[in-house]
Amino acid sequence: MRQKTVAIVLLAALALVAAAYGGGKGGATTTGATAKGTSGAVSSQRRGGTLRVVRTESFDGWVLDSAAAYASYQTDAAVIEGLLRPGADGKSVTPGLAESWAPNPKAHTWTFKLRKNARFSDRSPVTSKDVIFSLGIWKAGPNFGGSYVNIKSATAPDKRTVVFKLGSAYDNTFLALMASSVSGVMPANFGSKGKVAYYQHPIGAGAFKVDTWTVGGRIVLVRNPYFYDPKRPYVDKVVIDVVADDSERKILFDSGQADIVEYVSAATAAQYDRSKLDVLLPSQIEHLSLNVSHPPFNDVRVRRAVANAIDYQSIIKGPFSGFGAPAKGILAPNLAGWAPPTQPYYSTNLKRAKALLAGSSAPHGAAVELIYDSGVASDVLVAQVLKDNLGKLGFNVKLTGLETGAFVGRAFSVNSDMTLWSYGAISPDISDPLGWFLGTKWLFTGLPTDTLRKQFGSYRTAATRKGRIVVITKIQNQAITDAHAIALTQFQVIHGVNTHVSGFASAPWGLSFYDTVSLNR
Amino acid sequence: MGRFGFVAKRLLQTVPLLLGIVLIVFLLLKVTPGDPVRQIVGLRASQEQLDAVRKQLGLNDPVVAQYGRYVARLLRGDLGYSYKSLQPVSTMIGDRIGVTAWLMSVGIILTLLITVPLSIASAIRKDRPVDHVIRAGGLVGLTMPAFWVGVMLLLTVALPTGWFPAGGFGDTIPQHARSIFLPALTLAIGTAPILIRSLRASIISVLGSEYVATARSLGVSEARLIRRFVLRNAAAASVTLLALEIGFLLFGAVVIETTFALPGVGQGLVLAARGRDLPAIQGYTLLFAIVVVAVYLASDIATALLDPRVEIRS
Repeated sequence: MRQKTVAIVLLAALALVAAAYGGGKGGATTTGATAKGTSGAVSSQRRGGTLRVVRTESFDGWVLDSAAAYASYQTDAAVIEGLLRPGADGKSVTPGLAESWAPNPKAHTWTFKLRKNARFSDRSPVTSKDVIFSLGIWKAGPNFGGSYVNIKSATAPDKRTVVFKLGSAYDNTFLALMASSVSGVMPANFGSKGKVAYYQHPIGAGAFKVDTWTVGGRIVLVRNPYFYDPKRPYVDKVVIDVVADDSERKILFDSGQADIVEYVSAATAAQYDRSKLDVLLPSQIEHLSLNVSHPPFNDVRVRRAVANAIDYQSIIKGPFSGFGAPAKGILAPNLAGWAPPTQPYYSTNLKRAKALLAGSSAPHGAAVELIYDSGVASDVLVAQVLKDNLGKLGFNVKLTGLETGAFVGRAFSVNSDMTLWSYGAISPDISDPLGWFLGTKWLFTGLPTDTLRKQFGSYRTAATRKGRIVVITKIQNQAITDAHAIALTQFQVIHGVNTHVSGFASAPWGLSFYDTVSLNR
Repeated sequence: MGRFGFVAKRLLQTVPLLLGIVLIVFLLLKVTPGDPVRQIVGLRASQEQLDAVRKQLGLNDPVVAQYGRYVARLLRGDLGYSYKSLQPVSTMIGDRIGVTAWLMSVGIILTLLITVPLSIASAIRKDRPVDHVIRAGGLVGLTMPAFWVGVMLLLTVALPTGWFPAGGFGDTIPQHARSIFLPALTLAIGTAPILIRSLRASIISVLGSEYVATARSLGVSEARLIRRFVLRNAAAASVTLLALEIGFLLFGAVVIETTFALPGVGQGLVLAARGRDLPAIQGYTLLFAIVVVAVYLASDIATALLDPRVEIRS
């Protein structure tokens, strides 16, 4: 994953297609994903050992709502498990703490049945009271609290049953929301620890419990002896280290000191043994956002000219080392609910670009600024490609590479002419990217989001799959017409997985569960 | 007033010095771009939520008030709480300082082990091939960037031999020792050349003095001459230089710890800076300042002890 790609966790839950709607025991099952590593059925996976993971991103901490990095979602989910889990195919949900779930006929309420043997790491049983307490925490979160707005109440007919009452029926985002790592179940009243103490040493019902951790430093997780599946986790311990340097991560991997390297950058992936790379389906979008609030990009003709001037193939072959493909739209692919636009996406056509520009308010180009995160190697290269491409139209592009914190500040202020970044989903539904667009002033372009907000609401409550496709297609087409946010490429998350690792199965955006992994050495 | 008075006076002088450093860092953080509140609350928080947290943390108050509050807490020994982890900053530093102490200690030991014999060899064989080789080697060591040296050591020593881990600090003391060797060697390779030049020059100067000639004429062996007369007199300048180097070593530790994935204060500072974790940044910086000031003070005292010509006056 990109170091600085921010997951869009507007986990508007989405009842995933028919399989998810069916609920029932187990709900949707994991499909479509094959476990990476040595072959072998799950039952033959060896127990024991310490799984060593290295990553480039820092962990945000155990406050689920504050999670902004993939590193955080990944780690949070290992300790603070939710009712559901996202499937490794990126589109389904699978049982978590809940063994079954089902809607009433109009999907106005959802009834979840907790596993009999679900226990927190302090041995206390997971009850419906804990889920209701956790719902209060989720709803109060400043980042994702809005995602839960359609959950009007939750009741507990008994200790193992939770009934969620929704404000509107057919909320297609609900199940994906419950599968997100932000919806982890915490013990009621934080297990009597107090909020601050809890977040320093959390208790969850996940496969692991926290042994030690430091912000941005080493995280050590050990087996939760009370995990609901007595066969898992296979490994006794997970040691996660943050290693910022690409070369150092590769050295650790080659020396065998790291079993898994999470989110290998495309720029360095070519240095790895290809057989040890888990290259997932494309799920990330690299985008160039044009500020529509002032000249020259307040003119749609100028924006379309830019979109036609970009050399997309160079970006894929160069900065992304071929680990990408031409984008089909602004929405990240391989998510439930995704639909393509009905019109072709932009391609390089310099002649058309010049013609469009000639008839615009900036016929000779302009001096513009492009900001990007200088800590992301591929963005540094993409920026240079764009400078060259736009130079052919007469634009004088000032490249401003910023340190991550400074970049985030400026991006959210929407005060630059162009912003280069990327995003990917974190829940198995297209509503996730939509929520990100809403929260970022339409991907840092400053385009009013009223229409998008209405479309999001329509998607959420569409009663049929066809209805959902219509909404998404409209959004995709509108983004092409407006040309305010241009998808430069759709690229893949890449993990490095050593050959002695079995059972590693990652969703396209990179999220995996450590309890399925075993070590054969 | 003798040595005790000297030390007491120097200690008192460090207080305004440290407060000044804290003030500079405080002001620099105020002008650094990037919103720490957004890093705390999250990227998706609304402006209202950000403003509420900003108010709660007192970040809207005048800078003078914020600085005054911070100093008042410092004087009580309270370094505050990390914005990211909610842990006390003192605990965070405590968790990491051991690693950096290991790195610095082993780094200084290796530096001395490299510097002293090479300086002596270079000085007593002045302008001969050995001298040229040592000085050329020192120049190479000085010009190579630390992170590159570190990576080269990993590729040429750690990976092929497996004697040393490629990163991390290990869990037991023997593992700590193995883990720290290559990072400490990287530090030493960057530090020793300057000390070699200085000590070599001092030794050559002392070797040419009259009392050394007298000692030789009285039959004192070369080895005893170097050990008992020359080194002690030549070392004073190098001790001062070593103290200056320790300050740079500490900041070099930031690069080394990042390269070798060592969980020390250097890595902690980098992570705190990235996350705009202001209390942690201030805490780490204060630690660095205290260490550097303490080392300079120790160096002055050591110099006075080594060289009786340096008097400590009130």
